[in-house]
Amino acid sequence: MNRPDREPWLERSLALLDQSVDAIDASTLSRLARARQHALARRPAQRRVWIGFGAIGVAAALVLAFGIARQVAKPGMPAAPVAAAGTQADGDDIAADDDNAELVEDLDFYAWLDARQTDDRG
Amino acid sequence: MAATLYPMTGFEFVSDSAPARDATRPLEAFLRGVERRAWRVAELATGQREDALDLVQEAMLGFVSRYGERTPEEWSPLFWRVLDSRIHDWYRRHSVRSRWTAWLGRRDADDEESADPLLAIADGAEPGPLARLADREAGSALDAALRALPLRQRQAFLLRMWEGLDVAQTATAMRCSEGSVKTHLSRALSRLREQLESYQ
Repeated sequence: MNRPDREPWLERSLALLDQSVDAIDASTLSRLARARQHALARRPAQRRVWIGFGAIGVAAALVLAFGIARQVAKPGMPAAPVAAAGTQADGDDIAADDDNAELVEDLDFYAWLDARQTDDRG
Repeated sequence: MAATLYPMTGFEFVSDSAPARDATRPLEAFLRGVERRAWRVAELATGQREDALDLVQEAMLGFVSRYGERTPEEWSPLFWRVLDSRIHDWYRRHSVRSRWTAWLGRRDADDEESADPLLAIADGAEPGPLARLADREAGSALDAALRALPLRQRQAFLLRMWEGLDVAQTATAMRCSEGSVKTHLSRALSRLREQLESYQ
């Protein structure tokens, strides 16, 4: 890096600095080499770990999104619960009760009886 | 370093595979080329071999993890920026301790010098790398002159004149404006000229 426009004292100082670097002892050079290897060794490992965690995250998000989409798009399913659903549930409860089994079987007879009583009153 | 397969995840953690080696080769060449000067800059700043080694190691780790993906043309000012930041951290950590040490040291020195005049003689046991050179006197004078400079002036001189960064790159490395770089460099050159001109 010699430049003719530089003053002699500066040229000499820079040369001395270069020489001082060449004269660094073996122990320090070894430590520097280890530090370099340590820094470089961490680089690809770190990247792969983050890529791995990223892949897990993306896969989990996709599975979740697919499950939600299937639930929402199920055919014949009401978008929200309706009042009739409660009535249907009550009817199912009546039918499930053993005491009311005969009532359900003879429902036509009781409907006819009710109509007759109404006519008699009228 | 061998490849390790983790069966639970199916991920392969490879730190020294052939593609990884190829990818890190330019980075390794860069670090190999800069590490000695980096240690010298840190050693001039701290005056401690071990502290300088620690700072260079921290700078390498920080640089590789933060800027390793940048293009090689960008590496030099960014590496020096990380090292400069670490040196400033070191200065901050040691500033309070140095004040106390200097105060106590001055008191102790006053007491000791009055008790034993031999202790007033300069200690030549820690000459630094330059003193091992053939022109020992000039090297020692340069070492002393550089250590006596304020941190910003020394960094401007070393990065601009020795490392060969241009003004913009030096400003990036020192996290300051180009005008500040010129000011610091001008003052550093002026002070060094005063002390080193006689050693031509």
